[in-house]
Amino acid sequence: MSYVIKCFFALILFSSLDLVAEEESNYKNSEKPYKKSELKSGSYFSREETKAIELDEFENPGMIWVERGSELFNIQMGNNNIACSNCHNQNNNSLIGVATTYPKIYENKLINLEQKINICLDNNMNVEPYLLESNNLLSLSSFITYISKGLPMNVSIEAEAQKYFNRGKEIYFERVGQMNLACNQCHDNLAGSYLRAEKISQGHINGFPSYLMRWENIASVHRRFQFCNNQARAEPLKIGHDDYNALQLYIAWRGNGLLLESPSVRR
Amino acid sequence: MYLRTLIIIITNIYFLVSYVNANEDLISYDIIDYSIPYSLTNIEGNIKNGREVALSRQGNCLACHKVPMYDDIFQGNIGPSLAGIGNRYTIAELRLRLVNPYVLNPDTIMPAFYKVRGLKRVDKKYTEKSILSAQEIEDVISWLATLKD
Ligand code: HEC
Ligand code: HEC
Repeated sequence: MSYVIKCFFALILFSSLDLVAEEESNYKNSEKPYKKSELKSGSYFSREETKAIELDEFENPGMIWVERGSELFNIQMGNNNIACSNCHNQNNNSLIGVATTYPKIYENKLINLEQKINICLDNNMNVEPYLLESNNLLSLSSFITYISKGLPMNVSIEAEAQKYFNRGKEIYFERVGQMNLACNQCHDNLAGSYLRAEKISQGHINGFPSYLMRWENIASVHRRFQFCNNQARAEPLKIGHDDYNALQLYIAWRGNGLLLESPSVRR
Repeated sequence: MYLRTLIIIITNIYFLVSYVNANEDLISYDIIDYSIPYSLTNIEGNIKNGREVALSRQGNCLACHKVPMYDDIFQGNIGPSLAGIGNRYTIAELRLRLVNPYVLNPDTIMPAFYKVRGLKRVDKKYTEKSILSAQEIEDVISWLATLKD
């Protein structure tokens, strides 16, 4: 067979593959609880006072973590005396937009932004990784998310991410705990209703890391999952657990298109 | 030899006791015509205690329901208002609605307050425990029955 014919067949093959992929994601999109036009970020549901604090960068307590993260980003660490900014150019930051794509596959495994930062510390800088949920790690992830503020969430659920997506969806609809509650019961069916004094949102994560006033602390997505699990009196999973990453991927996909708002402020 | 028999006897006793305990936890009941006609405890419900359980974090009913006379407490609006609930349902119907509302609507968000089986990933603090005890259920429904228009 001549080279041209081979190319021709390859082209047909590729374009049909492409078609399958597209059909697949369209089919999935129709399964989303909220159409793109109906997507509302958490701040839409929060109280006026809380929203005002979030929008004012001088008052927003989450900015303390962003600032600390920005400092850490430029500090040389480890035996190699190397800073994040040595590789990721501090002024024209090469990490702008990156936060919109996490969680994502890295070496066949789904990881979130915090875990990616730890991998950089470990592999590229020869520095002991931070504890998950530690101040330093959340400062760095807050900073890296902050520089993508205003960009749309854009996670991929194709290829190897697929199986995590399916698992995450399963968890989202699974009733757990003594209260026997699933995420969808509140965040798909009851957004806008009041659970006692709390207005239930669509449960998106475009505002994370998020400052929670009740804890006077910044919280990762996984920390928020633990909190919702606790309220159902379910055994929470460990922060960084594969299943929480899978859940994070499903929820991020549900909100693809929402603009990053971190650090958001919640009660 | 003696030690072995001793160990076997002790483990047998242990399993026997834990089996009896697990069964003692929940009193069995019959559902007739979408209601549970007979008291779980045969002790008359205490209205005052029932109100306390319902309004406190223990029953947490106001997280989802409105009870107009307690306007001073934050109330949710996930479930129907409990105003006049005593007119709408008999004690027997209320008992089923608290004990196991899934019989009426398997998808409901209203928790079953007297159920321990078939739940997943329950926090260790709460495994094998129902949200309310049998007597607390009796107390709460006797209070609900007083909510009349
Ligand atoms: C009984 C109701 C209920 C259930 C079940 C529930 N949540 Fe929530 N969730 C809430 C409430 C109330 C809040 C606080 C108000 C808000 O932001 O929605 C909240 C907040 C959140 C937020 C933060 C949203 C923001 O903008 O800050 C996320 C994310 C979330 N939930 C995810 C989940 C996940 C994942 C599950 C299942 C593991 C779950 N929730 C189960 C009631 C619930
Ligand atoms: C997490 C939310 C939630 C909690 C907590 C809750 N309920 Fe409900 N309840 C509901 C919902 C929703 C319904 C509507 C029934 C359905 O979904 O099929 C309901 C229905 C009822 C009904 C039947 C009302 C009717 O008009 O048919 C009664 C009675 C009731 N609840 C009492 C209680 C009491 C008493 C408590 C506390 C001990 C309580 N509920 C706690 C959500 C809740």
